[in-house]
Amino acid sequence: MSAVDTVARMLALLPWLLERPGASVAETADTFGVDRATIMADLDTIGFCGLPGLGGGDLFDISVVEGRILVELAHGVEQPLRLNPREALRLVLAGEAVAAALGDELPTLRSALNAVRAAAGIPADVRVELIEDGTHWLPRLRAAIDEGRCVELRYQGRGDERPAQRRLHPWALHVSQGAWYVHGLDERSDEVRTFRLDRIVTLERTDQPCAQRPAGMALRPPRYEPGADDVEVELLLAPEARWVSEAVVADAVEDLADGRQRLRFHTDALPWVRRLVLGAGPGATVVRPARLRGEVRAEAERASASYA
Amino acid sequence: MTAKVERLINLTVALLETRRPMTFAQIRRSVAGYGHDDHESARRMFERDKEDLRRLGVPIETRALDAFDVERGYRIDRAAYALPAVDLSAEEVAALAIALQVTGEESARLGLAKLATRAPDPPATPGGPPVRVEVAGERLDDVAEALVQHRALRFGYRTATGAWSTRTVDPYGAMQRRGVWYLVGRDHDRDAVRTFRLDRLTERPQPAGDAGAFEVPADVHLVSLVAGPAGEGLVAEVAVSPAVHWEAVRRGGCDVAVRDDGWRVLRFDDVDPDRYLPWVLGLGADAEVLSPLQLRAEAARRLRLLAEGPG
Repeated sequence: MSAVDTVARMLALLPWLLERPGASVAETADTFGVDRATIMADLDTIGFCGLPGLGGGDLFDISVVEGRILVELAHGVEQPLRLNPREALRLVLAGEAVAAALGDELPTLRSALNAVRAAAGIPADVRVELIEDGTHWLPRLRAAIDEGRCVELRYQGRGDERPAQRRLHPWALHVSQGAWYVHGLDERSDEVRTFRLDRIVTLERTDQPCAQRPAGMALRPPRYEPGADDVEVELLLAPEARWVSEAVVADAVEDLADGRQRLRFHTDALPWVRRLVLGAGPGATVVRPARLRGEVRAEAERASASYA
Repeated sequence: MTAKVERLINLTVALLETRRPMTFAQIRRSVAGYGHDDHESARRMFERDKEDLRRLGVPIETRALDAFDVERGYRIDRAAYALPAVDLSAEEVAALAIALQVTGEESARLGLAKLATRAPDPPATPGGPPVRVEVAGERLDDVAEALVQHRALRFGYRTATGAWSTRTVDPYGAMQRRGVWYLVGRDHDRDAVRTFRLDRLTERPQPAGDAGAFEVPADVHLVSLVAGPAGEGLVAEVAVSPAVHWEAVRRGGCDVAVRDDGWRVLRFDDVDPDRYLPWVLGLGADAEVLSPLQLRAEAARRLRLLAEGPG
């Protein structure tokens, strides 16, 4: 933590403590998101600060007795500093995102956000819109998580040709990059997995009790992580198909002299890549793997038959 | 580090408490930490400290104390420094605290503590819902000041098809849609409201003008601008195999008929061909565009080219 971050915290800490005579070190640490030792160190430092003057001037008057803090003099900094644009925007954004995700559950969040916008001087319109597909599964999933019950779902995995049946011990919900995921133990693979809600075809609650989530297990962001068996894909993209490189986690993107783009990435889900390439039409050319090139051609041929 | 922290706090207090702007000489004499022997290094230290505090948002004013701007004085205007009164209830503070917990946006915690300084404390939060929401708010950091202060921005930008140019934009708002951050604003050169994907900026945006240089027009509707042009009422029909029927329904298709081969015919209203066609083509031999006829012809053309494509 830099000196400037510490100063920012102290300038907020002083007025907060002034309003709460006898606040405990523990609740103060909680509010400011640091440990107790940091709060004690902050108070130590502030104790040596104060008004200018000969002989050290007039210092802040701070005492800590039995874990309770008392600030009696806070020269000039009795009020908190205004929020700077970044911290104000971050707070509004966090609120907007949660309101988009859980608005119904937190009815006071909207009014709180309005008060924050007014106080922080954020007239700017900032919004978060989440993918709606599949959100109709949320109530059923929330209930299953709350009651500790497994769910049975038919799921279209990115790497699967067709939806497959799964049994899931659901542990938590996760919004990442605008999409909803459910996170839990997949019974078939006996692995912790994430499932995108908009890829769930059907979902039923069962009476089977849910396995305990290991304590302290962090939710990993549901992002593509390269594995040993993954395939390297190389595509050439005409200008109208450049969107493909924004839809994958690219290893390399290179602009070619002819205006096309060379895209390289790894995947564990060739069926999904085949869809992308088919969707991009003739604007995307598969350089490798040869298998994908063949599959795209064959699928396009079969699809063409309908139009003959 | 402690020395620097003490110095910055002392400087802030001194400049808040002084009635008349303080000269550097006065600061050097009275504020603890600037009393070095070496005048030049103390001066440099003061300049750095001043910039650090301004970055935090401490409004340090510089005033010329004589007509020739030889002697400058510094002070902090209390009204500009202090957060205006905020009226938050305990429930509202609790809702915001849950929002931070659910998003893990630690950098917003200090902001909440400031806003809640005078608010009643909520009862101990019982732990939020089993939900985690990622915001990726740091992607907005580079445009935050311009958005909040109504200041123009200049940046290099690559369009979806790869054309590059420098843009000067009055930022009106920002929106995250399908996980992507967009900036909406008036493009100076085109004199029109445009939408920019933040991940297509080719360099860090720079401020290009004064704060408060524009007003956001009342008729700017962020959601519809970011969602892109509506389909102008284009209605399309597609036939899909039973295997992908669920997906077509999920995308907003309405069942209109069942074919003899078991395929279902669905109608889509207000279709944007640029988004609709890639999806249908991606379904491969599980889907067939029926109407409108131009769209059907385009699908057939693309599939034929793909089928004949460079081996």
